[in-house]
Amino acid sequence: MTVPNLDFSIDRNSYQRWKKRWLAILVLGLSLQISHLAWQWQTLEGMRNNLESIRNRAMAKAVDRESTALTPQQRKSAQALQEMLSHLSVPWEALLAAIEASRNKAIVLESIQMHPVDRSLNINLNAPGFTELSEFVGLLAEQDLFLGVTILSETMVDSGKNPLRAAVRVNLYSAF
Amino acid sequence: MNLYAVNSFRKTIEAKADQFLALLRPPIYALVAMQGVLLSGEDNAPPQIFKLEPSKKKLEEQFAWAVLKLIELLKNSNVHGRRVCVYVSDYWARPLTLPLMNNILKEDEVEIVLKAQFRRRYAQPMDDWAWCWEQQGLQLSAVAWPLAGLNQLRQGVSGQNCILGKAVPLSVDVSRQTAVHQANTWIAIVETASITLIRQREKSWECWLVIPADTGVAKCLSVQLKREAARRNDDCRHISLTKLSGSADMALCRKELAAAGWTVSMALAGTSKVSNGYRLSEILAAQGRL
Repeated sequence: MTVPNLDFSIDRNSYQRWKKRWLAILVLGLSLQISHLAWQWQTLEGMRNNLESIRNRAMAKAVDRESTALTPQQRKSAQALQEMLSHLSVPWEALLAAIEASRNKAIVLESIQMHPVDRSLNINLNAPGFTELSEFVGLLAEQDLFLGVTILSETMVDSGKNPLRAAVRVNLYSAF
Repeated sequence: MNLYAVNSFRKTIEAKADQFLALLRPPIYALVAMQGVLLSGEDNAPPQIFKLEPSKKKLEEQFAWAVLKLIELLKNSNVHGRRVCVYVSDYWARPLTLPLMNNILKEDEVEIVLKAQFRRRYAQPMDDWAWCWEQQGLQLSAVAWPLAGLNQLRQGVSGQNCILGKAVPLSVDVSRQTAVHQANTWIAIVETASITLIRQREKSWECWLVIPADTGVAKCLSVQLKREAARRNDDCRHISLTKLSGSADMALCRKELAAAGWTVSMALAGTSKVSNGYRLSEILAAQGRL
């Protein structure tokens, strides 16, 4: 509309005054609302912390109760049982076949130690040199059974047939 | 607490309640024109009219007198707690349009500019006049009314526990209707003793004059239009004519303007949607002919 809005019934001063007042009321209302929400948030946060600490105390009590329920002998037996079960779940046949498939004839395996909890395997071996060792590690890494292969240590022990002693860690896929 | 205080408190509460209820009831319309004052009837009652005789008093005094008569009509009709919308003839108005250099002026800056411009335009200090204004982009439109009459109107209306819902110049109300049909035109509103001339562009009013219609409408208009068009280097040759009152022969006026190269359209003729101000003017003119 192009027609100017000229109306003498509107008192421009009081209109401006009212506009300012409404603005002030609006700002005041908003700040009250914000402070009320902040206060509510603080209260809820306090309640949450309180409940959290109650839950932690209850959990600690429950753990204590569980742990005191077993005698040291029983706990030892339970750990042994747990270990045995873990060992039972290891696919030893496939594992040994994979290691044997990767091994050069010159490499002599001294020990294989399984860690069922973190699904890893420690192999101690003697090799004629680093070339054979790296070839063995490379072939191990290509096996479907293994996730990753790391050389933990390598030492030259004497000047015999297999002077390089090494420790290798192999991580198994969790599916196996 | 004495009885007087209780009574005055009760009256204040009643007045406030009346004012609040006034917003819910339909308004009462009033027209203050040079030939008379009209107050639309309450609830289908006939309108009340007070005829004004031509006077040689000052413009301010004439306006105050007309407003006084309107307040008397309001009192006589025993109107309480209503909104009163008043349309005032441009005969008493002093309009002004002003192009602005800066985009936005502050309130007090506008007041200073207007005071200076009104003084320059009407060669008077304008201390006894009140004005209202609106900024439309880079164009400022303002109109001034005599202050005494305006105060009298405000006090008289609130004295009846009514609210002054609207107090607008008749041309503002009437041209609102014309603006819908034609955005880029000259508008002429003809009354008994004055002609309002407005140059309307798409977004603002660029010219707003009230000229006395003492030498015939057509002659006054063609002279003024020629002058304003030349002054503004304006090539718009379209004019919308509205006759509100008076004895001017608009057909003849149209013919003369057309002969001078103007495309003339008669605004509001035959339309059903007319402004309140126009309707009140028609009633007043019809009563005057009786």
